[in-house]
Amino acid sequence: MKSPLFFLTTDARILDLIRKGDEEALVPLYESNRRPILNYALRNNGTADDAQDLLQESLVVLWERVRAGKFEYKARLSTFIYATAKNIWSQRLRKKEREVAGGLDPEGDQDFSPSVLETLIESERARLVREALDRIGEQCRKLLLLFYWEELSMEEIAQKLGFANADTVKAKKYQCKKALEKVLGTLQEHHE
Amino acid sequence: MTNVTDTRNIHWTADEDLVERYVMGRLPSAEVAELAKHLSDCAECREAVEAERQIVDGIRLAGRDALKRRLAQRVHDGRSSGVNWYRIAGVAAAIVFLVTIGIYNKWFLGGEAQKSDYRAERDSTAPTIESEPRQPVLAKKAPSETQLADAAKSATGGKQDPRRVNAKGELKEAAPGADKFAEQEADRSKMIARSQSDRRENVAEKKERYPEVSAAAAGEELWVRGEMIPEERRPQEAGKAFLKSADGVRDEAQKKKGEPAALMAQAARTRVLGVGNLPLSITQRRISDLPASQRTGRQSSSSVQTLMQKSAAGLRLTLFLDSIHTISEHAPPVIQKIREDSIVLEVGKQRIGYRIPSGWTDQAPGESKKQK
Repeated sequence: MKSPLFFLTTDARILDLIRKGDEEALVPLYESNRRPILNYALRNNGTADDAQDLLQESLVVLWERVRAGKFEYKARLSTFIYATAKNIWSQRLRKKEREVAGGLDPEGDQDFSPSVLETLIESERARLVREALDRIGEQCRKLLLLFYWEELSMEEIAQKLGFANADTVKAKKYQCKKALEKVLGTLQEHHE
Repeated sequence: MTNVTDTRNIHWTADEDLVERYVMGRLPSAEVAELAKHLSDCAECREAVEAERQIVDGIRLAGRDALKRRLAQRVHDGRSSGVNWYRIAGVAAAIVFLVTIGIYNKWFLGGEAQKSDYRAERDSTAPTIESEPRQPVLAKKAPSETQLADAAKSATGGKQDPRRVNAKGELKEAAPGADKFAEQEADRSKMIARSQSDRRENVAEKKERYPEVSAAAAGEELWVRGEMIPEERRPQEAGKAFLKSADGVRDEAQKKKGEPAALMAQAARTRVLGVGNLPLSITQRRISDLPASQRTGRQSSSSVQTLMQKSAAGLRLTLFLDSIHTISEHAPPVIQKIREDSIVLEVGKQRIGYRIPSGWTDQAPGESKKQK
């Protein structure tokens, strides 16, 4: 039986690594939480693939929160990951139930709830954005990911990508975003 | 952004940085509330905010997917390398274990280990052997002296070995057909005696060929000659009669429990598969492997030069034959003891008769001392 101090020190070390942007810190969390989440998914009509996806999703949530400074350590990281996985799975099940209900009786309640339609539209637009992101060049892609997803400051991005200073990054970011919007517009026109 | 060019001075969404910070949640809550209030009255502004949100969400989604892929790759790589390390550690542990066992056998088990080494070496260095020498049923695993003593004790119900009780006379009466063979065997006693004298001459050569055995079992080896029994001379009926009479003795003994006859019946059945107390194992080798001193002018098609070795593990017969007989699970060697000092060995299709010197059939080396 491991002592609470063990988990505290281990979790603290992992959180510290995540704050520094070391993705390797997620690997031990992945391994230690794989079995419990697999069991949970299998008990709740899920598959092994679902469990893997849930675990990855939960770790990404943890990563984003810690990186954004929005993570508050209230329980062990494994507890947070398990609870997050449960929440994600519950949302998916509810969404699936609504889709099944709408599919079975389209004439009935006319339940074209905004959430269903929005989900479909969002997923389609998100796919287009990802496609556009792949077409604007590697440097622009990295820069936009660091700014919008990693939420790094201009200084940090300059240091990471080797720009002269924050102003240079700001100018470059503006160009990249405009390029993205342009490609996205083209893709949307083509799609429609 | 789009659709706000004509209202640039009115709508806050004209400020792209402000929209971006609003969508990314980087504004104070009070300011967010004020901007949100304006959005409820301005459809164009809502559209602009929504467009920005979709871009930001799309980029974040791409970032998440990329992180998931990298994570899966790291886990996969980690597992691959981890498994290799575990395997390497496992193999290393197995090697250490085997080496330890080997050292233990070599240094602490002495003669037994040396004999095992000899057997392994002999089997591996005899390329002319066509079939794997097979141990008879009772000699599959060489028992220790204690095990042999316990087995004998349990077989006789904890009483003294019945084969010592008037065995010669009973067997003569029980198997008259076998006596004919025994007489023929008696004729060969001279030959055996000659073999015993030859043994001294062969010591030096055997030490050279079988140094471990010579060292471990000196004085407990014997060269004997077995007689190939032709078809017409095979005492099959005699053997059957022997067994039948033995069963008769057993039945008789069941009526008189505890009498010597009961012990005799038990012993008679036991002898079919063993020789006295000793398990018997058989090894075949080609006649070309026969030591030179054993070849001199005495080879004939009707006899089999045989090295008899006695140890705590039992009695081992090494037969030097023109051809190796196939021994399979379905046709194991059959040993029939015709008399106290005579056995018939059936290896494959060949039957060979032996006379075993007195004192070789009852006890393993050192056992007599224990019993005393």
